[in-house]
This record gives sequence, C-alpha cells and structure tokens, in this order.
Amino acid sequence: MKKVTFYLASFLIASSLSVTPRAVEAQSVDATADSEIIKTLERNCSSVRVTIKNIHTNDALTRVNVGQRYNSISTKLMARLNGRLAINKLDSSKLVNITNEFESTRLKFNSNYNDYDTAMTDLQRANCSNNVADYYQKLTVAREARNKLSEDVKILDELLVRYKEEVQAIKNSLSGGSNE
Amino acid sequence: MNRAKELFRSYKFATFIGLTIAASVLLVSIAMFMYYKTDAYRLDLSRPEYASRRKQISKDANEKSHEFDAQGTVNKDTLKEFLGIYDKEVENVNKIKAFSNDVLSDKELGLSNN
Repeated sequence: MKKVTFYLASFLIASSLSVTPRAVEAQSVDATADSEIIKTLERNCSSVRVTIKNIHTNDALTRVNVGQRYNSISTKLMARLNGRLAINKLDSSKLVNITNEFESTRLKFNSNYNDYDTAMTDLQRANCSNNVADYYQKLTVAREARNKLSEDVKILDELLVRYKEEVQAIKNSLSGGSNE
Repeated sequence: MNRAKELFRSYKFATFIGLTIAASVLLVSIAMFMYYKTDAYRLDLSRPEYASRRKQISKDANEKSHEFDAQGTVNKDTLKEFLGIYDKEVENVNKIKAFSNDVLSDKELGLSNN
C-alpha cells in the first residue's frame, strides 16, 4: 500500500512538473499577444521582417562602434590617468573604483549584447505568417534584451559623467598650472 | 606498417596532397569552432550582410590622438589636457545614442498606433 502511494505521489509530482512550464508559456503568449496587434502583424508580416532585419544589422554596427569607444575610453584614458596619478602619489581611489565599475558594466553590456543578438537571430529565423503568437513572443524577448542593453548604456554614460566630475575635483585640489 | 610505408613511397605526391588537405580541414575546423565559441561572429562586420554599412564603421577610435600619456607629472594643465581628450571621446559616444530608442515597440513596427 505504501509503495502504491509512493508511486502515485511520484507520478503526480513528475506530471505537474512537466505540465506547469507549458501552462505558463501559453499564458504569457496569450497575455502579450493582443488580438488586434496579432492581426496587424499577420497582415504586415513581410514588412515587419524586413524592419527587424535592418534593425539587427544596424545594431551590430552600433555595437562595434560603441564598444570600440568604451574600450578606448577605459584603456587609453581612464586606466592611464589612474596609473599616472598613482605614480605621482595622488589619491586616485575614487577614480579606480569608477573605472572598475565601468569595466564590469562594459563586460555586462558585451554579454547582454550577445543575448540580444541571439534573441534577434531567433526572431529573424521565425516565420510570422505561420505562427504569429510565437513570433510575437520572440519579439517580446528581443525587446526585453534590448531594454537591458539600453540600461547598461545609461549606467556607462553616468559613470563617464562621474569620472569627469572626480577628475575635475582632483584638478581643483591641485596647485600649479592654470585655473581654467 | 611496411605496407603503409610501401604505399607512401609509391604515392608520395598523392599522400602529400591528402595530408595537406586533412591538415587544412583540421585547422579551419578549429578556427571556425573558436570563431563561434568566442562570439566573434556577432561582431564580424566583414560578413556579406554588412557590406553596404561597412563605411559607417568608425575608424578613428584607435587613433593615437585619443590616447593619454601614462607617464609624467600631474598638475592642473595635465588634467586640463586630459579632460579635453576625454570630453571629445565622451561626446563621440553620446552622438551614437546606442540602443536608446525603442525601435522594437509595436508603434515603431507599425503594429499599433499608441
């Protein structure tokens, strides 16, 4: 009797585990896929696909350009100034902290871009004329990935501003040279 | 083993060509594996689909003029010089406005009016 109860309980747990994710997935598709939007997407499928392809291509270019800039600022400006201040025995701890934060956010940005690229590639491969709801779901995933990238860029820009303010503070505390 | 040596002696050129092809296939396979494994393909703008946009790649990011010397004394003039280079670089980054606009929204894709 105990054995039967054990097997029954195991079966129920296993079946509930295999069923739950599908239910959640189906729910999210239904919740996000507004019927009017779905109809429009079905109608404008080919033009949306072309737009998505263009966005993906442009974003790769943006990623390379902005990545080069951030890398250049970090290695050719921030790291060098921090080193130079340290050699001259000036306190650059705040600048070093900002640089470290900048570097870790830059790496996060790189990793988030890879996720975004994967989401966009999935979206490009999907066919909106066959399974519109699935396509819209993939579009939602790509949007979320892009929002994360946008957040990373905001943080990086804020760190750039903070770094400048800190350099200005050090500059004001120094004697010698012009005061402009 | 002797048979293999005999074959190698008889078909030296063919064996040489075969080994060369095998070595190239192996090296290309390793290179392709690394190309995909390291995510380099995501940033590879030499792919055909980027041909039309290749001109837009900024080339001045690696210029010497954007570098700051890591050696030397530090005074107000040094930091002023640094801030001059830094401001230019930050301005260039801000011009790109990376991933700031919501181009994937329903409105931008023409799926809704709101």
